[in-house]
Amino acid sequence: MNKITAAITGVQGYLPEDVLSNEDLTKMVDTSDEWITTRTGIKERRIMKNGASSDMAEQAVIKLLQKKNIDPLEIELVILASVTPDYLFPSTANVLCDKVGMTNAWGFDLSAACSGFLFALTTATQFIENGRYKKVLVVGVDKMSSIVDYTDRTTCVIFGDGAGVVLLEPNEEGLGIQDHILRTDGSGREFLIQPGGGSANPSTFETVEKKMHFVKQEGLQVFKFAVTKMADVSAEIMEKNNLSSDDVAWLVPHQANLRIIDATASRMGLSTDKVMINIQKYGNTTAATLPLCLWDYESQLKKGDNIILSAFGGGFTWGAILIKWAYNS
Amino acid sequence: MEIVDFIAAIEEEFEDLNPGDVSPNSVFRDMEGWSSMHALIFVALIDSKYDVLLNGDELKSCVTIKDLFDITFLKINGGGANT
Repeated sequence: MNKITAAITGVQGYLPEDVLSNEDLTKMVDTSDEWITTRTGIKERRIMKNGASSDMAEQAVIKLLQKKNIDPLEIELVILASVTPDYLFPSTANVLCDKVGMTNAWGFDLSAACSGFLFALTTATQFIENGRYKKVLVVGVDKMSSIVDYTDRTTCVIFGDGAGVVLLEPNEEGLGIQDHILRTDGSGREFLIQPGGGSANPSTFETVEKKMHFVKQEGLQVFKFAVTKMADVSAEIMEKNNLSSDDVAWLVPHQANLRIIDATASRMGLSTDKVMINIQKYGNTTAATLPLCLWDYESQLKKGDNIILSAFGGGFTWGAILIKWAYNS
Repeated sequence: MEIVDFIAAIEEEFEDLNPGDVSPNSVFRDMEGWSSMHALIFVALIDSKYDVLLNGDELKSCVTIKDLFDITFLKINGGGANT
């Protein structure tokens, strides 16, 4: 009997309709389209004015199940990565299962900031590879507008809202998730953090007054970490699997900053036509960037393609996953 | 804006540098372990500290730390540097 691998067999995204452009932001904070574009590569981002993270995830999951002609009752497990859950508890995966009618599934949330989708996909892979599960959903969703301070020009230009989901199923052809390298370094936790609302700083009038429920970022420290770690881990997973740049069909990088994406691709020896980029349209949607890239580029992916997913995020967290793509669209 | 502050910021950002390692005439590409990543961090450091974004050509035109300081100062003020 062939070894069972976990393969992505479907992908879907959801983006709210409302667009927040760089021009819109110039009316809110002291910035300019040129300043934002040259530093980040972002031109606009989507904002969900009404609703919660689970509502975006619900739309993505329903469309995926329709596309794959799968009954919600067939889903056995949902792992949802997010830093903007509907509530601290119950989990957003729990809410999502109810909204979509996935009543045979159990689920949980996973918090690893912008690396959340990598961590969730790796976790889900174990449940498939051990033979216990046949249909698992991995969701990356964030409503970053719910924790962004729109008077802070250093962060409000970066983030957007969105959701992405993949279906993971067993594969006996050796396709699917091949390898992963995941890392955490908690000494970097202060550099990218939402300080208020947890047990360290429970919500009070003071935490609200001090804006502790918003994202705080030490931009330079995060950039330094990101640009080195994301490139290092991407090169490491290539080396570990004896892959040359010619062997890699696509890099799927976390969409936080175009300069970091370019540096990562350069370190891997990849030309820009092998790099998935949609940061200009959506900004940084945190846990949703990777599945949204896969969704945007799905029609260009071919069975057998070597694809490297790479991300970094608050924590610090970072990592890379090697996938052998399992289907033609 | 003083070059001593500029140098101090560089020495602080790069973990393998100690105070006194860098002088105005230091050739930054000769720094131990220099790579394109260091160039990006230089650009980010200057952007973060002085809100000046150097492009690739401007960075290529610089050889020493003083060159970097001068071009940053010029972009801020359009005048001469106070070294």
